[in-house]
Amino acid sequence: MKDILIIMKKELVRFLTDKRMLVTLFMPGVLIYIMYSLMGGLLTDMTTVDEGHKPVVLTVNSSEIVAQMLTSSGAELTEVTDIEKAKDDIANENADVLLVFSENFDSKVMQYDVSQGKAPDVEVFYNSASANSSEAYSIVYALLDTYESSLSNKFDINGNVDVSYDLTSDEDMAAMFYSSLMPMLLLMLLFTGASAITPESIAGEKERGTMATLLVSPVSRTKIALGKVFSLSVIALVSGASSTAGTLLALPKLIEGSGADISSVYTVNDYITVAPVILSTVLFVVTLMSILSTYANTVKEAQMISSPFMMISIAIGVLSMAGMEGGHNVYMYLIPLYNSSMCLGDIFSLAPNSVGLLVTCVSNIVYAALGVLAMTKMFDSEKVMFRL
Amino acid sequence: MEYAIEVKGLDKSFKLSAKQQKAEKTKRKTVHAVDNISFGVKKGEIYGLLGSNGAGKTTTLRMLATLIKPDAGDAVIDGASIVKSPADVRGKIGFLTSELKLEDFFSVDYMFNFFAKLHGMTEEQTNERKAKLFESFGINDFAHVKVGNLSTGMKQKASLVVALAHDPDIIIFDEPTNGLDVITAKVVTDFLFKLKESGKTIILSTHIFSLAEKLCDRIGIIIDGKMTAEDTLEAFCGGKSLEERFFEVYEAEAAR
Ligand SMILES: Nc1ncnc2c1ncn2[C@@H]1O[C@H](COP(=O)(O)OP(=O)(O)O)[C@@H](O)[C@H]1O
Ligand SMILES: [Mg+2]
Repeated sequence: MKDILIIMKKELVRFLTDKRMLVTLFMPGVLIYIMYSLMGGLLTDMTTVDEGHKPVVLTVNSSEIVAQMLTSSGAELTEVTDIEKAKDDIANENADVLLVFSENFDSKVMQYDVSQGKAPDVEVFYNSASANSSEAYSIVYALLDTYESSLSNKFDINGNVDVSYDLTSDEDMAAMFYSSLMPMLLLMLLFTGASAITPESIAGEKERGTMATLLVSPVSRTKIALGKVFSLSVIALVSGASSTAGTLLALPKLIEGSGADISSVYTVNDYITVAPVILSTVLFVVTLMSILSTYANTVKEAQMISSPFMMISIAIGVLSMAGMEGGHNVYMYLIPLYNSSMCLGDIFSLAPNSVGLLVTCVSNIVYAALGVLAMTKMFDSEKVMFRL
Repeated sequence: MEYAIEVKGLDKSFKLSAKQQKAEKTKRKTVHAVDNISFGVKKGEIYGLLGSNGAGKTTTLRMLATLIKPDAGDAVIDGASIVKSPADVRGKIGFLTSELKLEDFFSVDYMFNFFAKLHGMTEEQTNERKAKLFESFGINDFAHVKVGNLSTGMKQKASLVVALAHDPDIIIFDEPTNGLDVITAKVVTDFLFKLKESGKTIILSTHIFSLAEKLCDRIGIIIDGKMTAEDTLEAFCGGKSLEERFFEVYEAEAAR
């Protein structure tokens, strides 16, 4: 036990006092935060309407009834004759919407019967790249739609404006959002953290001949393997936590107003449930990467053979993102990575599955232990360690 | 006198990859690097394995240090078998070779403490031992500099003191003066004498006759992986120079 701690301490000192290493470990978190915040800012700029902007509506052959409805909803109307010029104005954002009515629109509408020929029509031109125009378009469209259906009203659907017909709560919405996002995000960030250090720590030591020095010391190979796996797990966890924090802090800026505030949805209990899943997953991921790094002869080679596993884990995350509704077969929780992904999905959708959770944690730890055993064997093999 | 190291029929072959075959210009699929070697090193003795490049010296020492496993045979080091209890062997020996490196990121001082701890030494023992070794090898000037920033000579001294941190009774030393400047080489040979005086057992490999002549009590001549001649230095030389005797043996072997 003491030997494991000695080796762990050396690894932690190695990675946590090296400026370059710290940058690689914690830069992703900071970058994610900055990038998402910037992206969020841009998106918000693109999608928000200037405060107090009145829709500028150009009309051709204006209908009196529609014009009145638009004016009372606050739009500024101007009748024009040159359609092409009006379209240019919309494209250049000088005006928001152009309405082209067929001639004598109002009277034709009154006389129209569904059985006779072509209905009078109105065309609405707008510019989707302009937030003001898009906003004006949806107002005008909704207004016209309401007017049209009121003319031939046979029945209403969800007609009472005072009732909220969508019975989902903001919390449920947020839970759905996070349960689809978190499994992929956490798996990806854990892999990123682990792949920043594991090849360096194991394949690197092998490549530089410092592993051989450790192998002629009297420490058992199992303890070397455990010391490496534990310390690398701690570092991967810290680095993963920082990028997760970066993401979660920036998220509200990215999806402003969706009501998906993580702190309002989950309780301390949920976080406590997440902890063993994350811990056992980190152990599994780090052990997997450690085995690959022990097999590889150089840092480059280790990174190369680890990257497919990173892809697979992201794919698994996406798979669970694509939605795996309903109950899962318990045996599915024996599949590493997929089990973690499902567990996280369960917990973040506020439907934790305690059997699945137990199976996931235990199986991950068992796999990690088997991995450490395999690493021990590899450390003992001159074929693996010295390319003989 | 009892043997500190008893080697019985050690044997090791390497498979050659296609690339290695090309590099060595050979069609053979395997190299018989060590061919049924037996010898004994008495306690307190300096034993020299003498042979040309590629004779099999390093491979023999790597097997003794448990870094690689023999195909056949065994060696017992201070009562521990390299085959059956390699971990015990590792606790008893200090293996010095250019193949074992120290991590660039840490200082000699840190590495020394690290390996001393792994050998189960107390802080007091460590500091005492460190003061002695750092003084002997003039490490104090750069004890706290990262290994990566040291010169080649300094790195070799650093590896040496770290390998001897636990004060092993048996020292396995592959090509002691290889790549060292003359002054450091002298420091190392003087130190080997001191170790011998303090009762340590040393087995070293070399292809330098003068070094073997100066240091060794016993000599084993390895040619093409085989132990061709073995005796005390005096008995082997019989009045002639070591170099002269080596080539007599070498030519006799070649004529066979
Ligand atoms: N890892 C290896 N793979 C293939 N051949 C090897 C390997 N190590 C050593 N050899 C071969 O074994 C023979 C003995 O090598 P070595 O023990 O290093 O000799 P020495 O130390 O006496 O110069 C040489 O022919 C060498 O090419
Ligand atoms: Mg050699």
